[in-house]
Amino acid sequence: MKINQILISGFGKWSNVTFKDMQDWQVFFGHNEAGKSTLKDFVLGVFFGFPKAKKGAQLYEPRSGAKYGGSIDMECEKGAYRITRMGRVKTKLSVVEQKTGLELPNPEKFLEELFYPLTEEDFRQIYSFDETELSLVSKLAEDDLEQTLLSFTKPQAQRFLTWAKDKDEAASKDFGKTKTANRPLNIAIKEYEQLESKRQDKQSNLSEYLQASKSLSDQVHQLELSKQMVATKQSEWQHAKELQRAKEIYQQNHKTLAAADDANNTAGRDWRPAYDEALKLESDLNWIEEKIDENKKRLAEHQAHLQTADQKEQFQNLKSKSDALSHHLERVLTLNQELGEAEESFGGHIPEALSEHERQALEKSSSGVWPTVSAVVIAAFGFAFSFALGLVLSAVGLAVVGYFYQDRMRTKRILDRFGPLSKEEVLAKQDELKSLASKRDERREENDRERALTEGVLAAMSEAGFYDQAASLQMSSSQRILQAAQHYLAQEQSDGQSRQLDRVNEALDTQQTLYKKQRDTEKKLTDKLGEFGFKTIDEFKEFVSLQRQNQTAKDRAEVAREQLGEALWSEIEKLEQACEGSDEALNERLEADCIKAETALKESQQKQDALLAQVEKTRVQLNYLAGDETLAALDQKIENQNAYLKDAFTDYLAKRLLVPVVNQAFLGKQDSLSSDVLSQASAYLAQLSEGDYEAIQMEKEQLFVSGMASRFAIIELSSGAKDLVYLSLRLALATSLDLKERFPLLVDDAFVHLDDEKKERALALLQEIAMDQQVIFWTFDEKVGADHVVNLNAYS
Amino acid sequence: MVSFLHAGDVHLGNPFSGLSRQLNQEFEKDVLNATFDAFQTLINTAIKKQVDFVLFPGDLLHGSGNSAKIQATLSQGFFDLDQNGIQVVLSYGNHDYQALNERGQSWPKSVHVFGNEVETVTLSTRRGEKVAFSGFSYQDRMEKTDRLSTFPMRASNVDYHIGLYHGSVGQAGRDQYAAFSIQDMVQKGYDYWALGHIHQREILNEKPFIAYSGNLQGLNRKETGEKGCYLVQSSDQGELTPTFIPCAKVLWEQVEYQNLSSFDALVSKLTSMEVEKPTLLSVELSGEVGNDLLAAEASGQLLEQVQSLHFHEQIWPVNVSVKRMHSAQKPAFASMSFDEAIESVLETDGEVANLLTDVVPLEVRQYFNSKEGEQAVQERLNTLMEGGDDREN
Repeated sequence: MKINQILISGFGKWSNVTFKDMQDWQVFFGHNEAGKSTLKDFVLGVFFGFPKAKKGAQLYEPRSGAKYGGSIDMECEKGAYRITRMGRVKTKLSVVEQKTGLELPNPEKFLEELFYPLTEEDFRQIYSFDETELSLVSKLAEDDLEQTLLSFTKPQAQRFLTWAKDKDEAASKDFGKTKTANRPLNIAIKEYEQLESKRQDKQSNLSEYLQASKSLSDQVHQLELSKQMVATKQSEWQHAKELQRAKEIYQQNHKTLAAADDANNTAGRDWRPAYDEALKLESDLNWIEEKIDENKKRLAEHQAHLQTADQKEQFQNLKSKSDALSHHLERVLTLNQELGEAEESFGGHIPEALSEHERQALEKSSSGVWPTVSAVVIAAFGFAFSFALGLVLSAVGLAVVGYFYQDRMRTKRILDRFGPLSKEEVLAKQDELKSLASKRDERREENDRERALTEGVLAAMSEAGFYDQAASLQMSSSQRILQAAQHYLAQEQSDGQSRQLDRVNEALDTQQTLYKKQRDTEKKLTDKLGEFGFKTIDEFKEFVSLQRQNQTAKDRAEVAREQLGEALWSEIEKLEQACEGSDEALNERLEADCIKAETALKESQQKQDALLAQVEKTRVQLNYLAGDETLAALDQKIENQNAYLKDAFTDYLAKRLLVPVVNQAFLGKQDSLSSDVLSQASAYLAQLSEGDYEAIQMEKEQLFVSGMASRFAIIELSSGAKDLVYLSLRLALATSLDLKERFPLLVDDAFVHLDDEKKERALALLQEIAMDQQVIFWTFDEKVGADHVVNLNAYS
Repeated sequence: MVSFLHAGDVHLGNPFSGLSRQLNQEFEKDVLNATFDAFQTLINTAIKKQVDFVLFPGDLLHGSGNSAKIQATLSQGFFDLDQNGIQVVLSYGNHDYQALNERGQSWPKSVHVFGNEVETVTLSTRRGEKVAFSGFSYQDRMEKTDRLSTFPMRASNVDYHIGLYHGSVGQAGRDQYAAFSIQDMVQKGYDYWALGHIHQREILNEKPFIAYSGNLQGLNRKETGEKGCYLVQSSDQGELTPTFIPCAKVLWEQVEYQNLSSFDALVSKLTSMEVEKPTLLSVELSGEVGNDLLAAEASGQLLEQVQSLHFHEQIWPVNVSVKRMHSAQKPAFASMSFDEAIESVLETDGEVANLLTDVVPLEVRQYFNSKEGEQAVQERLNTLMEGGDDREN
């Protein structure tokens, strides 16, 4: 690559200036502040970008205010191009092929490919150097100088290696490989281990929990068994108490049953049918006796009736009573007929007769027509005379009319009561009506008397000996009673006395019959009583009463036995037998059993309570263990610490591996480059030292210079010799690289610290180098010769 | 009609990974109880829906069920299910295989646990339908044999046949976790396959339904989104249809913001977020990222700064990173790119091991022996080599 022309729009002190026709060996001459370094930085800026704003950085803002930037015309393997970069902050880059005038679409890529594989830093390190570098040679410590010199043999590698070693050193401070190390990562590891240790301690809570869980299962099982035991003991104790209670009932009822059996002396025969029969016979006897008594009374009465005159009087009484009743019934019939006819004549209802007042009113009543007409006429005459008079007369007329109207209405009401009859007929019938009213009253009275008359007849019949007949007619009608009474009277009239004799005989026959019946019944009763050995019915009754009592007691005992249950009854029976029938022994036995059962129950309950407490305690323990969240928190902390360690060690490992990575990346190629550089540098050194030093060698990362039949380490050289070694390596690096382009060297007053002789040799070397690749040399020494020297002072 | 819950990978009591050592106190309790709360939600759902069964195809626990609280939670949960006439069918996976020998004795008889050999149990639903379940428990943390081949064909004398399987699609004999092929599973003729092992909900086949329910509660920032179980019910035609039921109490979510020019822009985005549950948030910044954000990330302060904002009472940031475009860089004078150099170094035996002595906890050393650990170191080396640090200076 060769730079042909530099065109500056604005850059530091340079504005609108062009440096054209640049040579392979191009010298720029200028005093201090002439802009030499500015120019060099401009070139580098166009190639790689203008300086970015950083603290202390020189930005080269155009002093003139001209537009920042400019162009470089150069030719390279690809051709001739103008590279233009304008603006520092918002840079616009363009690359134009000069032959065609076409602007390249991707100028950044062009430059990248042009300089590939060099970065800006590589370019600066290799192709650009100034006087400060040489001036530092003497100031560098030996190791640093060694490193600096070595960096020229392996430029990139050394840079990377230095950086990697710094990282490695920093990282190694983070972690010590021994257990006792106390570096940050070691501390983090200890924290992690402490957490793990705490976790181990907490781990026991799982086995505790599992153990407690198993214990709980066992305890619950034991508790169930215990509850069953308690239930059993409870049952046994209750049974013992029950036996005690049952024993009382048993003993009571057992005696009752025994007594009942003893009292039963019927030899198994059922007395009930005989007893029922005996009672029936007794009842029959009682009835017979009653009948006998009644018959006796009747007989006596009949006999009495035969012998006295009372009978006639009684019949007479009956006759008169019957007659009275008959007369009553006839009268009532007559009244009914008359009243019925009258009702028909009055249209179904006999009205009340007129009162005296009503009669008078009726007699005086009129139609009222003439009074009305009169009133109207008078009123008309009145109006004819005067209105007021007419009014007065009208009022009077109205009053008159009103009076007659009221009278008419009253008459009407009276006549309405008499149905279709006219006023004259009504007045004519008043006497008849009064008569009818009295008949109605009479009928009412007769009806009231009828009951008394009827009862009188019946009583008379009874007195006369017709008791039964009288009794049968109690509910009959009056007519029927009358008929019966008249019939009996008729009979009595015909054969009164014979009937009475018949009655007496009848009574006597009845008496005989009753006596026979009585005897038969008494015999039957006696026989029946005799079947069971009783003399009297009372004895039998007493016997039966006793039997019933016994039976009741037996029934009660049976019920008690049923209530106790056969099993319990039998058990007590067996116990009683075991105690040989002794009440006392049985009581003692039952009491002892009760106490024993109670004791066993209490023991089992205590055991159950103890198990319950155990279960509760275990549950509390389980809840406590399960509720402990510290293990979960520990797990999370451990995980967090684990994550931190992984992250931190990732960083640590990466930094510790940088050196091997860099070595691996540059393996081989840098060694090849290194030997090329050393070889070329040796030639340059020989030239610069005029043969005093012949070669520069590297052995085990150390540089040696051989010459004057000796070999010297760098530290053994004089400062002047060191300068030459430095310069040789520096120039050798730039000329030894095997790249697509041979880039121009940009040397900015690099030899100020050399003496004249060395300076001359260095300049001569540069001019030699310029034959193969462009060298642009900035100097303040006007003696530096060239075919084309640009005097920068002239641009001031 | 049959109904059941399919809940894989409960990992009861499993701590969350990837949380910083300082967690917002308001979140601490939620995080500690998250898996327990999710499990309780599952139990409550089963009871509310009156399902016939609850299936746990592996990794119910993390480890061997190693705390009293875990044991008590399981016992109580199973007891509650038993009280409601719900049966449990359970197998152990690669994370809880030890629990087979250590399980508590206090579980009801309605909990059926598969042993190490494939076995089939036939159970009845509330309506008297017969359902066969086939499954097995892991014997060790890995299972390389072909377990699927030992599953019987669908039983003919049952109304439904359901398989429980803890494993992943792959090559039996080569892959580590009971590898199977979907085709082989379909050919068994079962009505449903309840899978476990993968923590993401994923359907492998529709008919029959072969799917992972995913885990019940996300445990790290890779397990984002809603987590829960499947409620599976039979239709009138007898088909088993699953419905997802969310159970997680705490969500992990990830958001990506592009071209945020500054920290304030990030704050503005974060404060406008809406969530319904406590959320652990990962933020990835991509595109043109502001310098203040890059600087904070490079210095390791970015996450702390975002956490200090307390911008939402239900959101806690757990990771804020910048996504960089990585290019395989080859320096000018290098014989290989840095990527190749890094790979070469990491593949060198003992290179990492020499740096990690016995002082380093075994779990950490094992991590760096794993692919995940190696990848983490590799990514960190790439980041360092690319810059974003002071290399250029």
